[in-house]
Amino acid sequence: METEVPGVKAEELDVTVVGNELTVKGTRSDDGTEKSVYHRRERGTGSFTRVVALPSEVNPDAVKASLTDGVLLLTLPKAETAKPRKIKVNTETK
Amino acid sequence: MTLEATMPQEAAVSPTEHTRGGSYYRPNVDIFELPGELVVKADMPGAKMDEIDIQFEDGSLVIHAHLTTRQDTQGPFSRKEYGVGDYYRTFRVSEQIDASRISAEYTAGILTLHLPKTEAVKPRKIQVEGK
Repeated sequence: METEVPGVKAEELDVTVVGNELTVKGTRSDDGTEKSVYHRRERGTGSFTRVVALPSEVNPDAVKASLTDGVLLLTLPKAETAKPRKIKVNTETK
Repeated sequence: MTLEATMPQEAAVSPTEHTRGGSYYRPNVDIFELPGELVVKADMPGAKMDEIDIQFEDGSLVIHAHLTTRQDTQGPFSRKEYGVGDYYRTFRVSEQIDASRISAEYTAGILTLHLPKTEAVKPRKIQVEGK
């Protein structure tokens, strides 16, 4: 899973996984100068929360997260129980 | 003796349309004015520092970043809410800027540009002499 979070520091990010539900929370603080005059203000500041239902259950202990250039990348390995298991078909000879 | 107060000039930054083809993403910006400079902050996550190109000429500021697609995924998307591509945005800056002192910094996906005003337009404090 990838999401864009420019300006959010790693310590301001809160990523949790429960079953197949992923929650990403974070805060971006205002890095401008309050005493200045804004000519344009398009970038948001403040807190955000996003909850995403993943297509399958994942193993929370094996989740990897990296934050580079404002892009948060999560790799969430599927839980063993969610992996397709091949069933061996026994043929009976009579 | 007359006292002349210097009024800070209004910096107007107006957008210009670009006519080139191809898909570009318009980064969100904050633009604010400090006594000595204009500051432009643009959200450009995923850009690489050496792929960001900034030009300032004749009062036109152009921000362009070339991004190589990073979403070469190993499978089908179950959700796709945004795309990855070049960032492009241009502004007409009517403020007098000293182009030789423009500085830029890119960190955590945010590009910050400092556009220092030329000396002549900075508000100058007039010293009042008493007699």
